[in-house]
Amino acid sequence: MKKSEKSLLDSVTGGLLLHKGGEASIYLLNVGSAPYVLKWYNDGFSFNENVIKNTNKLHMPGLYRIEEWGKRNESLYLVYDYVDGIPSDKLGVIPVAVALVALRQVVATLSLLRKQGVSHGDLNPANVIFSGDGNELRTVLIDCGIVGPGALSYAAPERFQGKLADEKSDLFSLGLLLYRWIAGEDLIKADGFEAFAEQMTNIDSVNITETLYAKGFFGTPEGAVQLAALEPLWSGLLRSGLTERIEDFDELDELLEIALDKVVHGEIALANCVTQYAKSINRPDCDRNAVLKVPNRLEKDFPFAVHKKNNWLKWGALGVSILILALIVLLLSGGTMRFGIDATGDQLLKRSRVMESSTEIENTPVLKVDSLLLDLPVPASEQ
Amino acid sequence: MQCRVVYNRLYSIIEVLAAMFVVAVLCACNQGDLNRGDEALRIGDYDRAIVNFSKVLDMEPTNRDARYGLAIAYYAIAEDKERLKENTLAFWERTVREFKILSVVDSSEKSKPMYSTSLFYLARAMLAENAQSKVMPLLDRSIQLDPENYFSYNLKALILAGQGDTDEAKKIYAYIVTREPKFASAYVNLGNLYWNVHDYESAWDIWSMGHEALPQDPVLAKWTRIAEDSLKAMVYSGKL
Repeated sequence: MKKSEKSLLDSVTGGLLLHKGGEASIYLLNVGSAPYVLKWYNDGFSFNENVIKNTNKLHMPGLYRIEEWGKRNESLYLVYDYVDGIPSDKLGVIPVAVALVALRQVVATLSLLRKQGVSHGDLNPANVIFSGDGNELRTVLIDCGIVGPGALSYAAPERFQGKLADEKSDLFSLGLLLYRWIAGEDLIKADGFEAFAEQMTNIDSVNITETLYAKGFFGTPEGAVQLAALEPLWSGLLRSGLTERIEDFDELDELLEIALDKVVHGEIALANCVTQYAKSINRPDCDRNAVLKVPNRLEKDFPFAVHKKNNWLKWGALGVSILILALIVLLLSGGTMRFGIDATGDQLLKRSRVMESSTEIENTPVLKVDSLLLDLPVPASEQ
Repeated sequence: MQCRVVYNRLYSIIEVLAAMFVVAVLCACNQGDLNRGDEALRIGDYDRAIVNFSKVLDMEPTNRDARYGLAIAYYAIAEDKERLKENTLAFWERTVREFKILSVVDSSEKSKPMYSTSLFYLARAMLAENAQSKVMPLLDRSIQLDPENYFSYNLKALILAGQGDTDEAKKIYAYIVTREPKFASAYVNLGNLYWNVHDYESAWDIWSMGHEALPQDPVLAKWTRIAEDSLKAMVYSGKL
């Protein structure tokens, strides 16, 4: 089930709870000084593994990078790269032009995902991270593969009937997401599954343009233009009937482009608008550098224990192995000892067998030549 | 369950590693005693060498280096006693015993020459103790262990000559001087055999050959001169 045999969770040195929800708890992890996000599923919740596998294969800037998934302590979990940015549910009201640009980015990512047979299934503001540095605005989509309708405030009517996520349901969710960005609040508010299901099914009766106008943001002539520009999007996205909805992401992108043309006049004006907004959310003092807050210790209620013992055993075994190797090397180097003893033996033997001059035994008489014929001496035998 | 299996395996691995570690440590300790024994040998501290090599053998009786070191130490002590003209029989017996054990654990050829020499010394010590000692098997074993141990050949020839087998003794002496022209005793003893049977010409031949090979050897020089003078005297007297 895991992407790799070695779990990142065994290398966690610090962890911080970011969010505790009904589906899962989200933790910021410190793994080797790099930040990761852990999604720890509550009992009864799970993810679509096929979606996770397919998503894992994709490398695109607008999509989060899944590192690992599996089961630990009987709970499912998912680990993905920390995305440095702000979840869009924390951003409040977003200028219409910026919201349209951001949505186009999300649509581009969803379109690529779709080509891999993946539908997101849980498009909501918390799952779109506004990232980027300085003047740049970049959206990153997270949290694919949910099982179930996803965030109820953003789920398409058919999702309440148990249907799997598809392009059409994602398009519906995108309509609600756009509304949230522009209005700064959810369009559909209800209490409980049934109530949300009923409201989503009856969404055709909601006049979104009037709702937005009533909020007072669009009282100016410019606001009226914006509302008019957005109207085709609401009528194409927020429809309970599948056939009445926009056909696909490509069509939505075209509609978004048209809307943008109406809302902002010219590319320069659009770029200025986006840059200004990007600057405002990429301020150094804003709350996006959460990674800096990752502690080097685990919180008390962290959902799993890091198996440091394994590491200890590994290091212990490694240390003993190195020690044994060192001793073997020592013994091998001491192997010259064999030659040392042999050399000592050879040295002593050489001394023993030195060819000394033969010696006469003591008291051998010095004989005179003329006595030889009478009494020949006998030379001493030598051993 | 799987977790427990993994842990059991890990512990098994740790146990094996720990056993290897203990063995390695013991080997390292033995190696220290070996090194100390060898160092003691080299500086002539034979008693200390015996202590250190014995420590290793207490732990590992089949340790070849320790056994060889112990045998060498006894050998050196016995040889020192030889130089002091002391009774060495007991020392050579002990030395030979260690070499005999060594021959069981050491298949190499390295220690054989010294074992061979120890047997020669033992035979000589036994003869010094009792001239009738049966040392021929020791000498044959010595020659078998080291065919270049001409000391054992020389002693064997001396014994054979003493037993009256002068022909065999002559062959051995001739073999020695052929293989080792610097072995002065063989020239002396071979010449002796000829001299004893009044073959002065042959005696002179052998001694003069030895004197030529070893001009600094005083015994060979002396007996070459004596034989030469004797031959001259015999010529002058008309006996030759």
